[in-house]
Amino acid sequence: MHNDIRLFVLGLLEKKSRLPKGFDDAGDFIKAGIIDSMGIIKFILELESRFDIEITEADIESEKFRSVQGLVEMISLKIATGVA
Amino acid sequence: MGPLIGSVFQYTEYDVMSSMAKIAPTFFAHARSTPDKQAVWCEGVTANYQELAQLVCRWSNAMASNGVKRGDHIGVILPNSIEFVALMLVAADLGVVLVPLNTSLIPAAVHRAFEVAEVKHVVSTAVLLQALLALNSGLNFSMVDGLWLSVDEVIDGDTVRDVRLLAELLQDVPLDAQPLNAALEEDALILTMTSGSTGDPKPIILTQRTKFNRAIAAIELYGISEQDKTLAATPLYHSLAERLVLIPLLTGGTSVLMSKFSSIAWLQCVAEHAVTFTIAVSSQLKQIAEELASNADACDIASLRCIVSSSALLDSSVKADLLTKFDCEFHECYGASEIAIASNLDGVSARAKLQSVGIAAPDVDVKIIGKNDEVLPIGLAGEIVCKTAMLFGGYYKRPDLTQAVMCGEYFRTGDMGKLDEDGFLYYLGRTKDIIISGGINIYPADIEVVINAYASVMESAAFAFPDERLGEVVAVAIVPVNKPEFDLRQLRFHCCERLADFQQPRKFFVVDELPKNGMGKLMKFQLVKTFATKG
Repeated sequence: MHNDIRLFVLGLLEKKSRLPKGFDDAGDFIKAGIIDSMGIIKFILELESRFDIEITEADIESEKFRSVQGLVEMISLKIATGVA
Repeated sequence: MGPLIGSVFQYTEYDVMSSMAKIAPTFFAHARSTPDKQAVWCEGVTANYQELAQLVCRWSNAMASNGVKRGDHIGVILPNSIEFVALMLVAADLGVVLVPLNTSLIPAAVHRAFEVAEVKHVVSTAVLLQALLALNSGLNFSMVDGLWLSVDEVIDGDTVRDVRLLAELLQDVPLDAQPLNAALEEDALILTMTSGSTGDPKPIILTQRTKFNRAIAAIELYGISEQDKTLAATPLYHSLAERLVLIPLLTGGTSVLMSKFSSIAWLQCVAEHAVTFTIAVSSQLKQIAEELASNADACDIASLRCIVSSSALLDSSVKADLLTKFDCEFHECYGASEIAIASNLDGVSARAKLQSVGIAAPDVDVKIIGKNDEVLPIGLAGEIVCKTAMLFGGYYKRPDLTQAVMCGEYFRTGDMGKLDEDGFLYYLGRTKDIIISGGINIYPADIEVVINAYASVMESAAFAFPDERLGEVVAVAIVPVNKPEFDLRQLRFHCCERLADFQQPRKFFVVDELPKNGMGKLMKFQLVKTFATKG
């Protein structure tokens, strides 16, 4: 499951922009501008829709919501605990 | 005359052929005189003038020998990249027309845009083409029967069209391929997609002459030379970034192109590349000013010689703040996609006339007209109209719409304004139904069509909602079929699937009815008044 989530998130990021050289799972996609204030709403909805979860304001402001690795952990936890 | 004009006309072969397009020859002239100079940087990849010219010549020749002809329309779905820059010059050389699209458009919207703009060939990336041409998309791209090109990788899996790889196409062309010089000044170079009131795409024609004139106007207005390093931090499917890339390539300078904007990345980019000139969207400048306020010591922006705010007007307070933060020449410009720059406010004037958007740019005539198209005296408010050499070439195959936006030789901006006794223009508001978010024009009709198609919605109206960061965002008032059972979350997923990222509504207001006048006409200003001031 972790890998499915990871590939889905990476796919969304790649559709937004070519990933910078050296960008890895710990890379900050907000700071890099890959997901910007214009793209964030659709990004969240795509994650919510694909994994049937709900992403809250607090989630968006958390450190996890900045890297692929963090998002995979956040989404996995929501799926496992049935927080939707 | 600026430095560019001198360098263009020392090449007499172009001087005697006045109808020949000037963009590609001017670029190639710089490539001959300064082959080793850095032409463009984009996210760690660089090309000097010789390398870029070689790519352009080979690509142009490869396109020609693969059935791409002068006048053909090429759909372009590319992120900011050196390939996109090269493709603009290929189009300028070959006389083809680029139809650049927002990379976040959903496949159905791309299909519609291709139909309206009569796209024959497509250039994109493997990732984006794979999503567009998926076998299960239900879309038939048979009308786009020319060349489909991926600039980076081979596509995995089956697709509804065969896609060639750029590298493979270039293999057949010698390294010393020469420019084709096939374009004329009157040829369309870019079709920029906008929307009409019905939500249908309404492409704006920008000819080679218009694009050249617009770049020259900026070069002269802001005194740009080959010494300048010009930063573009907006997407190349917008005319602003196209102009910002052409400016250095037509002056022998250096283009610095960011693939995505963030205020931190922008400041790092300025410092790292010693950027001297840029035009930024006002909402970007606001974010940059905030970053500078919190982290001023870490930001070296001393290289900046001139900075211009564009696309949406700055609040007076932000303008005043920026004037103190940027210790360089500062301008604000007012304009529209159809006319480029209409007025210019320089930093000195800005201090005296903070509320103004400046005086008419050189060779632009600005007037204020009343309801019967009569020219209004100084101080009276009316519609802003402009006469300019930077005028667009009309809406593609819509002479009716083109005629409707012209008042003689003057373009009707759809904006309200007034002039003062010194010729300074004041912007007072918009009459066109449009939302400007982060510098991007969003058409409410595009949003309403999608939301009204949702079975649980009886009717809806999209309108502009003020936003700290983006200036405005999309708000929607919805009348559900059955209010108690209405599921907003499902509607948001519906919008997610059918609208691009910049079109996603941020604010939803579920109402019993929309405000309408006695004739049943929607009074959108009432929605704005009721909701857009409450937060």
